[in-house]
Amino acid sequence: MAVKLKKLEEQVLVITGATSGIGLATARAAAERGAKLVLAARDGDALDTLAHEMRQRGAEVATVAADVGDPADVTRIGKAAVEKFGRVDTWINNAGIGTFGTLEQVTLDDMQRLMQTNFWGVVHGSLEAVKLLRAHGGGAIINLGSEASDHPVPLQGTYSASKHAIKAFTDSLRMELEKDEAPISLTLIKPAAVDTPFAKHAKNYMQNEPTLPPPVYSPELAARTILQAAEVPARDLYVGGAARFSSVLSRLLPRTVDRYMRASMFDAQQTDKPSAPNRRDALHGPDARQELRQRAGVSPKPIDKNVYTTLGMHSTATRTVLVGGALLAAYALWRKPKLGTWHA
Amino acid sequence: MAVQLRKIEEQVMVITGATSGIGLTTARMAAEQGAKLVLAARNADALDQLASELRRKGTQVCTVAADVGVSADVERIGHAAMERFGRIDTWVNNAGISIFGRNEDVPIEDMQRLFQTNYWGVVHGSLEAAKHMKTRGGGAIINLGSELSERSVPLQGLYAASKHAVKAFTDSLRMELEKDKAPISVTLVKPAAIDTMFAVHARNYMDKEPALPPPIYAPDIVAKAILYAAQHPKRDVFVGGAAKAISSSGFAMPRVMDKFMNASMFKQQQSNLPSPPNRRDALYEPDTRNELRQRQGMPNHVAESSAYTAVTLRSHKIAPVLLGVGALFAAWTLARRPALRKAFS
Repeated sequence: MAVKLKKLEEQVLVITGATSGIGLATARAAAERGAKLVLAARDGDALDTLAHEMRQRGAEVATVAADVGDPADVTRIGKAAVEKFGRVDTWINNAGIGTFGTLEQVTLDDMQRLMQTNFWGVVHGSLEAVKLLRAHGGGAIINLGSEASDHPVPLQGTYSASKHAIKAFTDSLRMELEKDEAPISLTLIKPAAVDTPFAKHAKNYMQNEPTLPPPVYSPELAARTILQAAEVPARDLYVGGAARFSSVLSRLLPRTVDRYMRASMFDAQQTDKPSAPNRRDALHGPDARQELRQRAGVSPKPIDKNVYTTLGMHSTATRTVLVGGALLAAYALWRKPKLGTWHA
Repeated sequence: MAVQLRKIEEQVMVITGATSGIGLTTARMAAEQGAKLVLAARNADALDQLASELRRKGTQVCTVAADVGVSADVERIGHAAMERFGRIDTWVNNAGISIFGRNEDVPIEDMQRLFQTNYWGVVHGSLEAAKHMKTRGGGAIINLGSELSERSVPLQGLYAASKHAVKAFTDSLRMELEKDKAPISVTLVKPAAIDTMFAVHARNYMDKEPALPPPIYAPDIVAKAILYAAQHPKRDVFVGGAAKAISSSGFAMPRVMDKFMNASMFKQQQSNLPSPPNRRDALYEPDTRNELRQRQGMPNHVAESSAYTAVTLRSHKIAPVLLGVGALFAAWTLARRPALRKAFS
């Protein structure tokens, strides 16, 4: 992809789902780098609070209360960006929600609402972004997939389906843009489990409170990965080596991974606290009590640095040199009959 | 999967999208093998005609005019099957439709209609099937994915997205049913390009008529694979070696495949004929002029068999034989090495 992207401090970034988790972490990190921001979420109050916090630090911010599942709302986001800043450089389709429960338990209504936010929100956002980027000299579209784009996770069937669909849509749009030689980079981010309010916001059908099993990575790691893609074109970026590992494994040994998931994921995704009868979630509307939180605060502490993710952010050439060099060194050491014989 | 499945001649099979292409071919093949059929499609007239044809040959058939995208319609299919035959042994979620065109050119409403049929139709059908199968000792759910369940393509973005989603749903349902120890086999069939009315029925936003890229396979191969999976539990079936090749390359070399598809798929998914202004399709309503056709009839070559599919369907029998032969060969080669011979003499 010979697409040239601007430095972050010269960019106008659109971020959906900006009031929580990965979106919030990305917005804050981008603001610190000096990017201009257009932040979208359903909760107008949370957006105002966030914008206020950022403007106090000198960031230029526009906010749009919008439901990405509604194409008219997404058009408004684009309009607001152009009105305030004259253009968009990077559009990050991040807004997403989960449900925990079996496919037989979750109502069709809830499944459809999830798909409307997660998949159709990305379709609406991507197509709006393409329109604007074509009109203003190009840029980057960054879509949040998941490790669940590559293999499903039990009790999150519809979420997995939505993330699979995002992958296919993103891949086909990318090919079409490249055929056109459009100066637009299209990246699919595939995080492993990230410490955000994801489990708290998800609608829960299980007996106990949902949680994400380790390894869990920090939202700041995800944010760094996303902002990397805003400056350097990339096709796919995993966040967390575990995401890549499970993706490859599920491809090579599907039945084994099925069995492993069956044996562990039904229990590992539940805490031992029962789910409250009047439990609130953010599926059909924002949960005002859980706004503006980057992390849920899981233990053990989420992983913030990850060799695999960092490697993924470098070019193939750099990766080849680094990994090749490491392998060569290992081979050289192995060939030496005794380590003690390192002398001239 | 220690699921026991009946022979086809003892089975009650539900088939959606039964009036065309793969569904029609499967229905006729299953009828020939003595299955009792519950056939669903949107076009009641076409269903009646098909039922009449099959009954003349002695098949027991019940028909349900239904839109798989409507969950109440799908409940009626299940209800009709239980009322008429008392159980469901196999449920084939086959109904599907496509749209050809760049993502930027396709209206959102059309995309949503496609998804409603291709994805939600499978969700409705699978859940309805599982509900009834649990009460009657089990069975097989067979969902039509596609090679595009694993690797996307330009000009059919939403079709690929719907088939990716079908794969994830099917794999999740399988894990959950297995956790429950339900005696239900869940199969994802992933065909390559098949000679059916697919391109004729698809809605088109390109300048030229849609076409399918070669290699193209006969719908009979898919039908055989479906009927095999109805009797022998299988996790996945690729129909056509090309489907497996696309899937593997897509995984191993995504950028290469991107470039390859851009070089070939824009040309190969368009015929030489311009798309007529009043072109009809079956996205929102059945196309009554083109019903009860198994194949479109392609100008290019259509493969009538697939060695890959034939072998992999029976892989559970073949693999141990191959392993055994391999092990014997390895033992023989090693035994001939002089150093080893010395060690053992």
